[in-house]
Amino acid sequence: MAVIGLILLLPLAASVLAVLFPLKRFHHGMLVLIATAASFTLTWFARDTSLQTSWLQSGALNLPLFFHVEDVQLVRIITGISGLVQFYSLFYLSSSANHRSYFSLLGFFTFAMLGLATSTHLLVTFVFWELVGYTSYRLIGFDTTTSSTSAALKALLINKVGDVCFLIGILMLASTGLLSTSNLVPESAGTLPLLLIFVGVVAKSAQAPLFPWLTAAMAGPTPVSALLHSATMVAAGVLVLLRLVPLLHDTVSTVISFTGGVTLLLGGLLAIFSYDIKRILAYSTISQLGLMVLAIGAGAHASGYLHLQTHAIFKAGLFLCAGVFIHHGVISGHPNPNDIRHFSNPNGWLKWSWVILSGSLVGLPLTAGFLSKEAILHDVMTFSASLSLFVWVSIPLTALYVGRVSYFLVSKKTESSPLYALLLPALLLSLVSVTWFVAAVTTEAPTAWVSIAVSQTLVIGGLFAGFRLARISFAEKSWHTNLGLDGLYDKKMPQLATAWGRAGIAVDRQIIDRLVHAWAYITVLFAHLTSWFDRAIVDLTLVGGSSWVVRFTGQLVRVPMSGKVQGYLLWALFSLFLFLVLWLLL
Amino acid sequence: MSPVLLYLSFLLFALGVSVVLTKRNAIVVLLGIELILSAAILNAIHFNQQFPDRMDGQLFALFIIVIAVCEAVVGMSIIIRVYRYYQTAVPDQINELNER
Repeated sequence: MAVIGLILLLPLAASVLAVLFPLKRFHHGMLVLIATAASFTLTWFARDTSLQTSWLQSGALNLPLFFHVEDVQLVRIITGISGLVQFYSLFYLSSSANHRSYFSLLGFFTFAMLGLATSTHLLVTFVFWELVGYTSYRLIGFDTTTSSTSAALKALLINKVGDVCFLIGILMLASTGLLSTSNLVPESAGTLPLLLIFVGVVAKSAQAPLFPWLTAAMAGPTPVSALLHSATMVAAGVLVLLRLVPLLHDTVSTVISFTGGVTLLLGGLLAIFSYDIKRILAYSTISQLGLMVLAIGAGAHASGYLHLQTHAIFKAGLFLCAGVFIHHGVISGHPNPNDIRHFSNPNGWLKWSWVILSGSLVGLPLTAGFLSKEAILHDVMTFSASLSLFVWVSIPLTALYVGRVSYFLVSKKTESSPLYALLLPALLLSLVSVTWFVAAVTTEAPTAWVSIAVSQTLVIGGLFAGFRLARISFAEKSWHTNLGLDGLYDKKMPQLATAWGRAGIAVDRQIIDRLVHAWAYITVLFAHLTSWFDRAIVDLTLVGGSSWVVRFTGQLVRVPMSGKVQGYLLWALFSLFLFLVLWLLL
Repeated sequence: MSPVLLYLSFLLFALGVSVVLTKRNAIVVLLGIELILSAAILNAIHFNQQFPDRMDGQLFALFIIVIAVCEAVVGMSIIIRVYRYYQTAVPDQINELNER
C-alpha cells in the first residue's frame, strides 16, 4: 500500500479504535494524536504518490477510488494543524467533557479532510465533503446546550442547501464525463453546473449570503473552531474551486469574483462591530475566504492557493490564542469570557504569538501572510484593475478590526499564568509563519515594491485607526451580527417552509382531493347508469320481454288446447271451414 | 229439381254437428255422427236424382249405411272401453290431452 493510504487510514483507524474501546480519558486523545503525528511524519515520504483502487463497479458505472498527493504541503498543513489542535484539546477540554467521542471525531475529521484534499474524482470528493460536513455538525453541537445544538442544526441546514446544489452540479458534469479532476479540458463545461457547484462552495466556505452558519458555528469548542471553522474545513470549498479552475470561463469567473469581493468587504465590516472574540475571528475568516475566492475568480489561482495555506496556519493560531484568552477568562470566573473588553493577558508569550499571527492576518512583513496577501494584490492588479479595488479596500479594513481587537488584547497588563501546554501550538504556528516568510524571501525576493509600499502604509494606518477605534465603545445593534441575515434564516426560512407546506396542503385538499372526489363521484354515477341499464334494458326489456313474449304466445296457443275432445273437433271444423272459404275465394 | 233434400240434408248435418259438439254423453255424440252420416246419404241421393241412368249415388248411400253400422259398432266398443278405463263416458271429463 502506498504511503498516502497509510496517511489517510491512520487517523481513521485511531478514530475507530478511540470510539470502540473504553480507554482512560487522556488516552483517547493520545491515541488519535499519535496517529495524526505519524501521518504528519509520513508526508515527508508522500511526494507525488497516488493510490488507485476500484470502489464500485457495476455495469457501466465505474467509480474509481483515486487519491493523489499533488501538493504535499497541503497534506502536511492539514495533518500538522490537526495534530496541534488535538494536542491543544488535550489540555483545553474540561475534564467533564466526553473525550471519547470528541477525539474520535477529530481523528475522523482529519481522515475526511485528507480524503477531500487528495481525491481527484468529484464524486469521491463529494463523499468526503459530506463526511467533513457531518463531523462539523457533530462538533459544533458538542456541548449539547440548546444554543450550540441549534447552531449545529443551522450549520447543517445551510450547508445542506449548498450540498444539494453541489451534487446536482456534479451530476450535470458527470453527464459530460467531467468527473475526474486530474485531466480537465479547459472551458468544456456549461455555466449552470459550475454555478451550482459554486453554490456548494459558497455554503461550505461561508460566502455571502450563506455565511451566518459560520458565526453560529462558534458555539463549538474553540479548538474545533480553530481546526474546522477557520483553517481546514471551510477551505474545502476553495479547494474544490481550485480543482475546477481549468473549467471556469468568464461568466462564472465574474460571479465568483464578485461573490468573493462582497464577502471580503462584508466580513471585514462586520468584524469591526463585534466584541465577541470568536465572532470577530469568524468574520475575519469569512472575509479571508472571500479574498481567496476573489483571487480565484480573478485568475490569481496560485496566490489564492498560497493564501489558503498561510491563512490556515495563522487563523488556526489566532483561534488557539483566543482559546487561551477564553480559557483564562473561564478560570478567572468572568461571566462572559468571550468578550474582548474583559480579557486579561495571562502570559507574555501569548501576547507575542498573537502579535505575529495577527500581523500575518493583515499582511505585515516577516510573516507568511505578507507573502500571500501581496501576491494576491499583485496578481489581481495584473488581471483586473476593477477587482483589485475590493482588495485595496479590504487591506485597511482588515487592519482596522485587527488593530481594534489587538488593542484590547495586548494593552492589558500581563499576568504570568503557566499555560505553556496551551501556548505551545500557537507559538509553533507563529514560528512556522515566520520561517515560511524567511524561506520564501531568501529564495525569491519580492519585486512589486510600489504596491507593497502603498499596502503597508494602508495597513499601518488601518492598525492605528483600529487602536483609536477600540477606545470608542458602542452598543451592538442587531445588524452587526450577520447583517440581520439571522432573522432571515431563522425566522423567514421556516416561515417560508411552513408556507410552502401549507400551500402544498391547500393544493392537496383543494385540487387533488377534489379531483379524487370528482373521479369517485363520476365512477359512482357511471355505476348507477350501468346498473339502471342492466335493470331496465337488459333485465326488464330484453330478458323479461322475451320471456313475456314466449308466455303470451304460450297462453295464446293454449286456448284451443282445452283437453276437451269436442273442443278439438270444433277447432278442426273451424279450420276446415276456413280452408273451404279460402278454396272458394281463391 | 227441388232442393228440399239438400235443405233437409243441411238441417241434419247442422243438427248432427251441434249434437256432436254440445252433447255431454259420448253415446249421444255417436248419435250425432249418425245424423251427419244420414245427411251425407241424403246428399248422395239428391245428387243421384239428377242422373237417373246412373247408380253411383245409391251405391254410395248403401256403402255409407254399412260404414255407419261399422262406425256405430266400433264407436260403441270404443265408448265401452273408455268407460271401463275412465269410469265415465262424458267427453268433458276425459281430458288427458290437456296438460293442466
